[in-house]
Amino acid sequence: MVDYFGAYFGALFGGLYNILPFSTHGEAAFFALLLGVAIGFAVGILPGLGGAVALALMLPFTFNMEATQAFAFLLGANAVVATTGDITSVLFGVPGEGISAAVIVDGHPMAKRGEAGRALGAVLMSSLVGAIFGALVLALAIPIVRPLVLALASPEFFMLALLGITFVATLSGGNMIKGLTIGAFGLALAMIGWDPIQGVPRFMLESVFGQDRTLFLADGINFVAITVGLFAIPEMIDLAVKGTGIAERGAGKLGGVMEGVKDTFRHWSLVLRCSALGAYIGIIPGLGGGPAQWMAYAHAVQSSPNKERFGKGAIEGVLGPGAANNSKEGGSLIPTIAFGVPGSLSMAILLGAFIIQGLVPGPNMLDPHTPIRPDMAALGEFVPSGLELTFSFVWILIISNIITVAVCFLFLGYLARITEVRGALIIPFILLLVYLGGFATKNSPEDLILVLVFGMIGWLMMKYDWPRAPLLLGVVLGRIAETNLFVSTQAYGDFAWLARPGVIIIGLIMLASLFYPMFQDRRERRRQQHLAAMDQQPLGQPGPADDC
Amino acid sequence: MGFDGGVTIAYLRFKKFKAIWLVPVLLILALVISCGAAAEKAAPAPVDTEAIIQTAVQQALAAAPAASSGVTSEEVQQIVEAAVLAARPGEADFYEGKTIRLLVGFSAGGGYDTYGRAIARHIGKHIPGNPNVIVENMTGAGSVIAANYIYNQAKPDGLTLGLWNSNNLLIQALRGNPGIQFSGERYGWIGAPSDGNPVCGVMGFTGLKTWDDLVNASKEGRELKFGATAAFGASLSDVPLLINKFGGTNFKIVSGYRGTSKIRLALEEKEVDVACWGWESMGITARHLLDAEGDGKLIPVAMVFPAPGIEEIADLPLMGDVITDEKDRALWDTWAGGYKFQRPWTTPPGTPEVRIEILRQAFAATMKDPGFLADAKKAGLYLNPVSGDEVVGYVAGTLQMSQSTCKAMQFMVLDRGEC
Repeated sequence: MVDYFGAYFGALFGGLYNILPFSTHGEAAFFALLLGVAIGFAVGILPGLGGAVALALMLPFTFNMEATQAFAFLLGANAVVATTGDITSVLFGVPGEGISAAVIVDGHPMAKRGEAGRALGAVLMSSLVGAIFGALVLALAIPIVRPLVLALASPEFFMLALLGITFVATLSGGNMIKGLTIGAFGLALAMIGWDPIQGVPRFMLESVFGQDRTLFLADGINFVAITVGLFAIPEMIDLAVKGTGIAERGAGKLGGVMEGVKDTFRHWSLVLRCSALGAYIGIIPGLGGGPAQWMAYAHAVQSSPNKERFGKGAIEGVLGPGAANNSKEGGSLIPTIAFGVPGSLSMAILLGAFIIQGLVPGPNMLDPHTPIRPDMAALGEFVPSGLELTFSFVWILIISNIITVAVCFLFLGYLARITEVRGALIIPFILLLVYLGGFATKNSPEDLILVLVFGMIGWLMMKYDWPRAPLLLGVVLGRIAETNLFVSTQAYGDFAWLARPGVIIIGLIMLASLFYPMFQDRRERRRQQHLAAMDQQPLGQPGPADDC
Repeated sequence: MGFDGGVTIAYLRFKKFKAIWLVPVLLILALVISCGAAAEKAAPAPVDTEAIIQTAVQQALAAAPAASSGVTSEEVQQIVEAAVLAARPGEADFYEGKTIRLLVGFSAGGGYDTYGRAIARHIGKHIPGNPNVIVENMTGAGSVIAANYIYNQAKPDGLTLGLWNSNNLLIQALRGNPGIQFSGERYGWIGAPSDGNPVCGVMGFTGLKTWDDLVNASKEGRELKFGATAAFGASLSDVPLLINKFGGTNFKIVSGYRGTSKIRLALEEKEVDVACWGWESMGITARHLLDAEGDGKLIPVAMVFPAPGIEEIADLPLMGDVITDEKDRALWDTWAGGYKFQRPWTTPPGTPEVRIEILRQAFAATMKDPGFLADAKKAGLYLNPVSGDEVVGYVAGTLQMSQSTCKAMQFMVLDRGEC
């Protein structure tokens, strides 16, 4: 036992030493890490260009690298895309990454209110906390992860997706009926395309527009196109109409940034809880990167005493997803390392890097004594032990995020000022990013029309005060729910899967989370009805730009 | 409403935010740099036809001493000259300074993409004129979108190539997908890096150890669950579907998984018992299951084609052997023919023959390129190159399907088409 702990801590420091520039191979790894961080920085800020695509393009450059160096390069880039993606989300209302869309909901209204500095400070600090938390989870969970993952089979995945959809209700910041309706609309949108099992075309309107023109919908509707359309286009219309900068009021002093940092520690318990949530969703292979941020957002709303503030620039709505989409990275490395089962597309590509390096994921990645490539070690090359390499992963996550956040803080003042530039100057630039984002995910020109259509829908929703976030969650979880339900009924029998203990437990959590806010809501509404009845705005009159 | 007045001058008045100047400056800088790089590459190196002919003549003469064959050096010169000039009309240097686009029908990082990019990195230097080769991903609909684009929209000039799932050809023949807007025999086929050999593996916890065990257990009424992605169009589901139909088994197909990685997990979770997919992938990605012991071991039990070179599966029985009826066996062989080549490169219909030939030779040369082989080995890519001519033969074999065969195989595509 003592031996094991000795080896464990030895590897912990060995892993750090191997990526710091104190030795020749460490120098190479550190340089690769910096290069990767720089690439990830840019990819994160630009919408549409996702982390997975960047990794795929970087992969061939690792052919001639040593293992630690290759992973420093790839993982360094992957670790920071969520952090810098959040910046674009806050400033422009365009998700810099698919996994930072949830930050828009409250982060962008803050920017509009002139609190861009505070929102950025909060999102960067919570990102850093999340990333470090995720890395620690990775370090601690590795030895005990197998049962955690194998406990969840298809029926549990289906239930988890349902749980997420139930959270939809609370995403609407008070109005549960509107939230559920929009969530269901999102689910309906997820049905568009060839059905994932038999390939039957559904709702593709192929008889109206022709087979060839509707084929771009075959894999389901493009999620990024919907997101940028729903969130960015209405904001741009709004901005053009108002003729001001993004910030309606002048941005506060740079002090806003420190305020945001302080907010992170003021709400430390929320940040830690959302980090844990993100890490756990990351560990579960099959839910992917999208849901983690939304579940964290839902949790932030649910645990807040006054839900009406959400969607209008509540700091908790920024902190939750900011922490979760970073802690998820550490979590999703766990099944990749322990089983070779990637939790997301980025991880699938990282698995390719394992193969290129001649490494086999599994128990040998946890072995503190044997070199990971005995054949190379025999040739006298530098080869870390499996556990050392795994701990290098942990340190790469931490160091690359510290570097990124530090660099961001240096320029944060300038970044926040972008919100003061007049709308007429900034709109063309953002629209370019919006359409680039819609196009770049699949290189399909038809998706540009989708951006426009959802831009219109989004504008109407904003104008008539319908929440937009549940729509996205419905789309993200729709296919996961459908395929897992299908597998469950086939593999376990039509209804027998319902009797699994995991299914029952998640089902109970679901019912509780559905009905508890309902009771709470009713009580609160009854109390407030008397007070608020007077100054309600008539429908159709453009109210203040807000959502959720 | 809208943008306020004072259009141009007001735009230039940045009162508060000076750093925005950085944006256009950086953009222009990037433009200048990329233009410079492009100009450097675009500068053509002159081609000296005379020199080519002279070297060719000398080589020919050296190879065939005039004394023994009785051919004069003039004659050789004439022949070589004619041959070089015939191939010449703009073709030898057509690719010079150009860029070839390879459209991959699947997302970056997957198997198709990995093979495509590995070849694209090396094929340029085997094409006369050394063009740039870039890879783009046009994803969707099991790569049917990319295949349709190559067929209907891409310019047939030999500069746009496509890499898409050739299993769609069988679906085309069976009229199984109205989204397919192409006719496979009209593409130009450049070649394929490998064939495929679907292998079935059963988990140790089932207690079954051989293919015969599986078939017999199923015939005796035991439910054996096969993990699959979609209901048809991949070996994961096609194998149990066909063996059920022709071999009298009653395998249960559990479809809906999103890729083989999810199926590997389902095997470990005991959610499914068996899975059948290409050994070139299974042998690498399911390595930890293949190397495990006891209940958690994945035991390979049968394959589609003989694999004498691969020790681990060399002795396995062929799945097709359980089919006793001759006609059924022929149908099985038609299906299996689709795996004689995997991940082929194609050109749009109407691409000039000369360019197809240039690309075929370059593809074949790449398959022997030591640099490519080293990359492929590192990435764990299985190689067994299939030439363009061979691919054309296999494609014809799949597509020239009699109406009765088409009818007999309709069960594979939910009886959707009319043959």
